[in-house]
Amino acid sequence: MTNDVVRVEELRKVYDLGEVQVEALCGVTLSIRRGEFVAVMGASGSGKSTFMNILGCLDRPTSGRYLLEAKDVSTMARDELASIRNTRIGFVFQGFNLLHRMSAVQNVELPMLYGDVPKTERRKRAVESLTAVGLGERQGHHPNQLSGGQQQRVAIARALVNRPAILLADEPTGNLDSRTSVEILELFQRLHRDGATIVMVTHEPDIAEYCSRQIHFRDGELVDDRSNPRVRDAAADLAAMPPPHRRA
Amino acid sequence: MTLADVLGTALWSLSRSRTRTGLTMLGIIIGVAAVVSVVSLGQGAIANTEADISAMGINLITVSPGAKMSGGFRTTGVTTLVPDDALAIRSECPAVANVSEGVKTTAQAIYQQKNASTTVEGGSDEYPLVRGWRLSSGGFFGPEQVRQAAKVCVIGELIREKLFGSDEPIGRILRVNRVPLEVIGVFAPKGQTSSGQDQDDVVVVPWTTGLRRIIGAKHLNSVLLSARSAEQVPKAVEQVTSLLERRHRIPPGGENDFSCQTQREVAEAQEAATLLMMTLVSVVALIALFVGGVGVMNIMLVSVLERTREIGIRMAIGARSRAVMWQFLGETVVLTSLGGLIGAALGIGVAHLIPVAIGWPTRVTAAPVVVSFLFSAAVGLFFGLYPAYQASKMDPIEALRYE
Repeated sequence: MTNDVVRVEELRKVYDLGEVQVEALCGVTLSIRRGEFVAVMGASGSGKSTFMNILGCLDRPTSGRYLLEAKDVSTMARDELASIRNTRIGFVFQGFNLLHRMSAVQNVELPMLYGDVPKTERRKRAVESLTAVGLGERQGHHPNQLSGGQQQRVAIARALVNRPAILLADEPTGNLDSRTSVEILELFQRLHRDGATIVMVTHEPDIAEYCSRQIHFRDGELVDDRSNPRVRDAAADLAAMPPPHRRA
Repeated sequence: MTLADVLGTALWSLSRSRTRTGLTMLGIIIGVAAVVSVVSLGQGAIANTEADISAMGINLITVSPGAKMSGGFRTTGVTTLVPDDALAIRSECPAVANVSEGVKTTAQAIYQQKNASTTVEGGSDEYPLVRGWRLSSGGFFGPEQVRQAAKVCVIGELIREKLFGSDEPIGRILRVNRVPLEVIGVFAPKGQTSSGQDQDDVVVVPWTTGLRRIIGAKHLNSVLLSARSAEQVPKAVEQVTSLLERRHRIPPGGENDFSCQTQREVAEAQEAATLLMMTLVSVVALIALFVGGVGVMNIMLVSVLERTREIGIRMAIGARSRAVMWQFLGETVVLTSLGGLIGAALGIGVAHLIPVAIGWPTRVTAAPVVVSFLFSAAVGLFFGLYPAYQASKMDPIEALRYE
């Protein structure tokens, strides 16, 4: 038994496009330990999206093994994967992906709806989760009444509400201005200090500087994997920034 | 996901787009309302027919000339029934209580400047007994007046109203086909029969007067008679039949040139016709309901496509295929059931409105309400299945990328 949350071995993904076969991942081997904050980098077409989809159990590898918390999920059926996504994985997307006609708290309750959590406990845990990301008093707001940063916080609260083993963030600051981006990173760093395992895709090197480990993909291969000796402190950066002119 | 979650999610989704939900439900609402109101109308007509028979007396037997044919049609213009037949029935059939020679024509009834087209019926002095009709004023003609072909008449309430208004009709003279008739009585109002004939729109004269003075014929249109009791009806029919067979010299096994119809048979024929009509219209309404279901499926397919991203999000955070399936199926079933409920309420409302608005009787029973509601729910289940299946088999990655 290791301390690995994620262990992938010779992970391969081939897309069959009829005449041609595209190899999106060609044999990736990697481990992510509990409590790491990993930046996944690479140009588009490098295979990082495919890697994240497999990591998030949205897709299955063509070959190779994927152990999530020592459990082999690479051969699981569709519904088993749904259950893994529900309980062990939290997703944060670039476009927030909240349901628009639902209030913040209803959005956060959604994963528990599919996890058979009793109704009374759902609301309690959703409020707790929203409070943890600093939105305790905005639970009744709808996404269109919230700023981009606040929407992303709701999405993070939703991702965390079922206490997943790993938080997967796909360009979480891509739609945000620089100050709000640092705010979100500050939140990730806080969660990380509290023990969360986070894997974040980004193509911006200065965003990756807030992570403790950086991995690079190129042409479907893992070309670089190193720990970041000087992790930037988002809280300190935020303090050094000029105060915001406008907050929605 | 529990059932409450499925229903809650469905109601939430439907309330997001009220206009679309309303329009989609409309087909179901109209279908169910049509079924409920049509069946109520049919039930009302049948109940009314039943009431008619008891009002007219289940003892009533009508002897008509010409053979009885299937489906209640009868050849008309047959001249085989004559006044002597009625006389013979009177003297030779012990199960028969009262007999009235029947003569019938339509004519103009004229009083001063007013006139009305009406049914003129001839009868014997036993006519009110046979039909069970009562008078509201005046009296009826007696056997002597029948023998003399007296120029007297008893009028229905509608004729009294049309021709005399607020005037006292008794003792006045009205003319039918230029024959002056003294009004000696007025029937108590009876209303319409279930076949839509107004029983108050009538002028009754002695049958002799009708035949000789008004029509100018020698044969009867019918003989109305009543059995001594309800139990005696079959015996009376038997006696009359064998008597007339003998009198008309019908060979054994030959086809009779007359027919006996009891009130029960008349009612049954009428009920059968009503039932057939009701069934036909209900089938059309059910087809409308089905077409409404196709509309629902269409909208749900569009809805599934529109909400691809929502489906992707739900799948990413852990919704299983079945949960997505249940979500959309639940939505369709809730939609059509709600439509069914509204339609049933509307149908019951219409069923209560029809008697007030156009005077047709209705009777609301539980069966059509329950059946059409269940049918609409079943329509939702059936037509929701395909869109829900489409939603459930989406690929979460592609669904999330959908713009």
